[in-house]
Amino acid sequence: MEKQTNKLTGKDLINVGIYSAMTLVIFFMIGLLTALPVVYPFLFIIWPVVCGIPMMLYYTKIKKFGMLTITGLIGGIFFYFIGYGWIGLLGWMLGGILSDLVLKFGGYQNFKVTVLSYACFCLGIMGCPANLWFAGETYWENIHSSMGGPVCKHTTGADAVLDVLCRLCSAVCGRYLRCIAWAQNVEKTFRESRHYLMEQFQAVASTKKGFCLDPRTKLLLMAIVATAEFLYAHTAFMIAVALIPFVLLLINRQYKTALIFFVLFTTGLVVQAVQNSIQFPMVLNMLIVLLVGLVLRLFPAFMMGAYFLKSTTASECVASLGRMHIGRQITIPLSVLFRFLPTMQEESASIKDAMRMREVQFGTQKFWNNPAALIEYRFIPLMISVVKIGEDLSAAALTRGLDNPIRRTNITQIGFTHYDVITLLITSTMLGFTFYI
Amino acid sequence: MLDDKGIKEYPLYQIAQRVGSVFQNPRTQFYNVETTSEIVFGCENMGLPVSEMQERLKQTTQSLKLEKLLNRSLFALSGGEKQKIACASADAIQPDIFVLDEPSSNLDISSINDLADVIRHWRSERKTVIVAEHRLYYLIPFVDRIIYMKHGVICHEFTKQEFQGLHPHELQHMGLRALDPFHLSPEGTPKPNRSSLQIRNFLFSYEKHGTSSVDIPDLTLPQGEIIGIIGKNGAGKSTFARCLCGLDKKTKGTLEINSISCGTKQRRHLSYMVMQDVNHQLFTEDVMDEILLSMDGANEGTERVLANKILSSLDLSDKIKLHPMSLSGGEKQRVAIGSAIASNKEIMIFDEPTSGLDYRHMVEVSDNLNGLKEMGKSIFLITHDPELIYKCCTYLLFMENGKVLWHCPMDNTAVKLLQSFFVMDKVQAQCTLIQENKSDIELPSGKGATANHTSLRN
Repeated sequence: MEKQTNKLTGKDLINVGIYSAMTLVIFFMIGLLTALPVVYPFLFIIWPVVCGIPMMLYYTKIKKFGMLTITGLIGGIFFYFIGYGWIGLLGWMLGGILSDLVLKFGGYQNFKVTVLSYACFCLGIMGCPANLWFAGETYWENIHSSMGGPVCKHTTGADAVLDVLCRLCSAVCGRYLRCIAWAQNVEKTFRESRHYLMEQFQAVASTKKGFCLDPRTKLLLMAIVATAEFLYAHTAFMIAVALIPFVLLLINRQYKTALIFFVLFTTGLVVQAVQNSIQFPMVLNMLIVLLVGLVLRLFPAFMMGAYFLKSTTASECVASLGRMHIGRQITIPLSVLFRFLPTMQEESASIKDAMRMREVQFGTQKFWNNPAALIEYRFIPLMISVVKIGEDLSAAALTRGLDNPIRRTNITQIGFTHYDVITLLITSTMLGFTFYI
Repeated sequence: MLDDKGIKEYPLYQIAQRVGSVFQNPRTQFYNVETTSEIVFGCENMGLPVSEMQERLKQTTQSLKLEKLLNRSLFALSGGEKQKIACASADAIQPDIFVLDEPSSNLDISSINDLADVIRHWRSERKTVIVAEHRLYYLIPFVDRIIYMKHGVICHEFTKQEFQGLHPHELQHMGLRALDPFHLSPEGTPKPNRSSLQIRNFLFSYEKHGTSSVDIPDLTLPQGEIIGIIGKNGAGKSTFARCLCGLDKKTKGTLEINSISCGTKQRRHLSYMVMQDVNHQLFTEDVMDEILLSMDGANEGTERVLANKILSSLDLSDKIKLHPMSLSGGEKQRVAIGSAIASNKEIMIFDEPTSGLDYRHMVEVSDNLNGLKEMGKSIFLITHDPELIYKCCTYLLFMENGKVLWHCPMDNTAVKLLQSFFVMDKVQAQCTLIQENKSDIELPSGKGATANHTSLRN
């Protein structure tokens, strides 16, 4: 029997991956409802309530500090790439850290503390929809002019958030660098950083033919697009930003997605250009403004996400994270997340069939007797199934040495090539140029 | 004890380097998304350099013959192929000891043969292989020691000769499956009856313009029998079952029963399928509610009485208030069967009800199926389990590539055909047999073969 440590073991990390996957999927499915502005005010109730179901299961497995923080980080990164940007990332991370702290100081496996912890978590994850509130001047000025109500101070919100972010980033970087300098002398630091840089730029004979980017370049591009969405200055810049995912999608032969993106984005631009000249009734105006804002501000990052998912295999992704020396606390939950999502889909489809067999579906007699059953019967077997699969998966992974403290290697070959350099150069010149003209 | 030190004193990752493990469920034991990474997963955890891992990958691929399975998505593989990858993953660690926990539970016959090849290979490399199983026929040819356990205690140890000398009744008493499951005699007797159901023009394919997964122009089957649907993996058995119970809306074709022609929607009202994973079918909070869920909800009083009757017939009366998920595997199966009975549908389809079950539970399932048959239901049974087929099937249907190759009642010809499928596993041999016995069996019309129907109705 191993001693009970406070370090997160392989089994804990697998649990983090599984339950984060469940929560993210449910959060995302409800997030699709943001397309309907009517539902908007109720979302702040629906989200916490529905996500509470998998989270409560998760809480039964949390006995150490750090698990919720990692969930927050993974969730934040995921929704950052989906298009919720920096605010989504920040919200999730804060939520994760806060809830972890509440549990640490309040005591694990205590119901009241758990509820308080979850409340903090929810406050944090509400940062995602809050992103739209920081969408930019145009949105709120429109509302102001059409409704004549109190002007929201959100126009300055975007600036304030960026400011905080920059400070955070520099603080983190500074601390990291300081730690290195403390631990070793300068010469050794130089040697290490050179070794680190050389690892990063290890050019590997690529087996892939044609254009292919290292996952790290793709991550950088996504960061650029997500940040650029915040700094929307004028139309030329917006087009430049949208062009990046569009071209990448075309190169990766995702023609259908590229076409949808093109149509929606140009429609958005056109509507934005003409909306001031045509007067719509108030509600319709609000709807249009919201939709346009959604399309123009979230879609480029969303499409970058689509490109990333289609063009990178899970092993490449994990390999690149390993190359960046990101610890197993992140890579293990992430790998489990990738592996788990298709399984959840299969299980869900199977449960749906079983429900149809029992005639528990929309429109039947049984449905009208008990409408909530539709959601309950879909969720509960799914979660029990998830728990069981999680246990099997843990056993299989641990008996193959997942808990080994030695640094993991990876058979997948990745490396920077000339394509990465060219892509980054073109992107930066294009954006810089359009931003400053 | 491993190397004179208690197992508990080793951390798990150190044990992992000496002992390779393969578990029961192929679907849930892989960590990666594609095969190559999965095979070297153990090596990656040990921190081996890339060149060493590639060398080991090559060795394992060669010795386990995995060339066709490399660089593929694990989600696209069949159960047997996944289990092979799991074995490869254990093999790549190059341990001295292999431990397998019921590895053949969810596999079909050809996959079990592949698994036997893998274990034989390990044995030839003089590794220690420990297999926990109750389905032993594939291991007997090369086993060294057999240890029988009961209630967590080792009861007896046999040598190969001693074990082979045991009488089948003794094996059954120990809960083990037959040593030769392929050459048993059928126990089910087909009923003499006149009514039949007719399947016409069943056509279904997953892609719009691809090859059809199911293509059955005309098929007549007897009502009120237990019809075993057999065939290789990927033959289209589960797809056929789904089409039959109306789960796939895109299915074309009709089912004629009691002179009524039924399309997809009517077939759904008419049939009930008990799926392979019983955990996906239990929804409510207690067993009674689970049974009531299958009923209409019109008159609760009478329904409760009926539910109680059903539960007592399945020996579940003392478990009425329990949560379905807290029951054991066999009990959950019985609850699922109870819901099937309660639904009162005419056609019932069971998809692999005995995978992983020992002898006693398999007999229970067989008894339950016979009970349903007595009620007059038509039962379709998809299974790879030869013992179950011999025990309760009264009619057989063989599918290959989405088409029905042959079907006939459980008589001597059927047994011969079955055995040729199990043992020789070659369609060629079956076709020869069909030619020889043309007068005795029924071939689906439209195949250009003449058929004589008289012997069917004996």
